[in-house]
Amino acid sequence: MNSMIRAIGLLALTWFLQVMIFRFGIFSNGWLVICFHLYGLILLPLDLPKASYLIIGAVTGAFLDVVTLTGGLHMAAGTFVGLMIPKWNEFIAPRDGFMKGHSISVSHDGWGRFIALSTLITFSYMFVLFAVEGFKWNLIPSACAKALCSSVLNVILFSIVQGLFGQKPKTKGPKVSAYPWS
Amino acid sequence: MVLFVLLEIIALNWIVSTHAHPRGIIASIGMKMSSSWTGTLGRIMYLKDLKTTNVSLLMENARLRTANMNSQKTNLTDTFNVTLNQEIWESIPAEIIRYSSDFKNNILVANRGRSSGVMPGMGMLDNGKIAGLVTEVTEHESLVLPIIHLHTQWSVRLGNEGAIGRMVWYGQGTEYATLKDIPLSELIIPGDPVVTTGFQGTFPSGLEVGKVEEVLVTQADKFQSVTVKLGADYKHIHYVEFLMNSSSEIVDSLINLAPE
Repeated sequence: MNSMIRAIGLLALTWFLQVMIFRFGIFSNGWLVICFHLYGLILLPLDLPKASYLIIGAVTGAFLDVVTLTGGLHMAAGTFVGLMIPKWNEFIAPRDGFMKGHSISVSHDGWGRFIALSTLITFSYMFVLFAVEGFKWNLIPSACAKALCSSVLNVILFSIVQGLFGQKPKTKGPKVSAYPWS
Repeated sequence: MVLFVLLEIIALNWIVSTHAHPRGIIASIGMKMSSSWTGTLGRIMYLKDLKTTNVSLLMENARLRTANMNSQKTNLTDTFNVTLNQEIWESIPAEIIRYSSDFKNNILVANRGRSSGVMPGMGMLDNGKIAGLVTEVTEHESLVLPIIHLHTQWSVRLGNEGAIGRMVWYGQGTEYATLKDIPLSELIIPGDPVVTTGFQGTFPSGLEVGKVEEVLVTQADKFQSVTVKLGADYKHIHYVEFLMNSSSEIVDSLINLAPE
C-alpha cells in the first residue's frame, strides 16, 4: 500500500512538473518533446492489475490534455501505454519475476532494465502521440522517427533524474555477529 | 481490452472534436462510407426492381406482339375486312409456374386463370410461336397441354399456301415434332416454315409453329412425314401469352347451325 501511495504521489509530482515546466520542452521543430510525467508512469508498481494501468494512463493523459489544451492526444497515448505497460513489465522481468509492490529502480534492477523499460514505455507513448497528431497513414514513418528521437531525450532525462533522486541502495549497517571470529 | 477500446474511443472523439484536421478526415471517411453504402443500396434496389421491370417488359412485349399480329392479319385480309374485322385477338400475358418436359405427357401450368379471362381452348404462345393449348382452368391458374404431349394433335400448314397436315409428337425431344399426312406430291425443302391453319379457332392462321428440319419419305406410304423443328423453346419457357379470339363465339354459333 505504501509503495502504491508513493507511486501515485510521484506520478502527481511528475505530472505537476510537466504542466509547470516541461510543457515548454519542445525542441527541434517538434521532433524532441519532453513528457516528464512518463517518469511517474514508469515508476508505478510492477504488479498492479492491468486495468489500473489503463485507467491511470488515461486519467493522467486526460488531465494533461485539459491543462495544456491538447484535446485528447495525451489521453489516447496514455491509454495505449496503459495497455502496453503490463506487457513491457513481463518482457523485462527477471526469471523469478519482481517482488510484490516493486517499482523499477536502478539500484535494484540495474541500468539495463531501467533503460529498457523507460525506452519501451516512452516510445509507445510518443509514437501514439505523434501518430494521432498527424492522423494520416503516410505520416506514420515520420511519427516513428519523432517518437524515437523524443524517446532518446526523455530516457536520458529519466536516467539523470533516476541517478540523482532514485532509490539509493541500503547502507550497510554495523556488523553484528554471533560469531566473534567472523 | 474493452476498457482500452472505450478509453481510446473517448480520447479519439475528443481529438476529433478539438482538432480540425482529424475532424475533416473523419468527415471525409464518413461521407465516403455513406456514399458507398448509398451506392450499394441503390444497386441492390436496382437489382430487386430488375425482375419486376423484366416481367413488365415481357408482358408489354407480349401485348405488342399480339397487336402486331392483329395488324398483319388485317393487312392480309383487307378484302374480307367487313366479314373478318370482328376477329380481334387479345393477349393475356402469363408466367409458367409448373413445368415438365422430360415425360411423354408433359404439362405446363401458368399463373393466370379464370379471373384473368383465361378459358379452356385458348392457345398459348411462347415468344410469338405456338406452344400449347389451355385445357383446364382454375380461378388463378391454367393447365396447358404443350405440343410435346403424346395425346395432342395440331392442324398446321406448310408455308402460307402449302399442304395441311397433322402435327404430332412422338417423344423425340422437346425441339422436334412430326408433321404427317403430307401428300408425296408436295415439294418440301428443309427450312420451309410451318404455320398454323387457324381452322381450330385456337390460333390465328399463319402463326409460326416451326421450320422443316427433315423430310421422311417411305415408298410404302402415299404420304410423307416431316420433322419440324419447333419454334417454342420448352427448355427455357417462362413468360408466355394466351390468345383469346373475341369473335370465336360468333363462329362457333355458325358451326352449330350447320346441318347434321
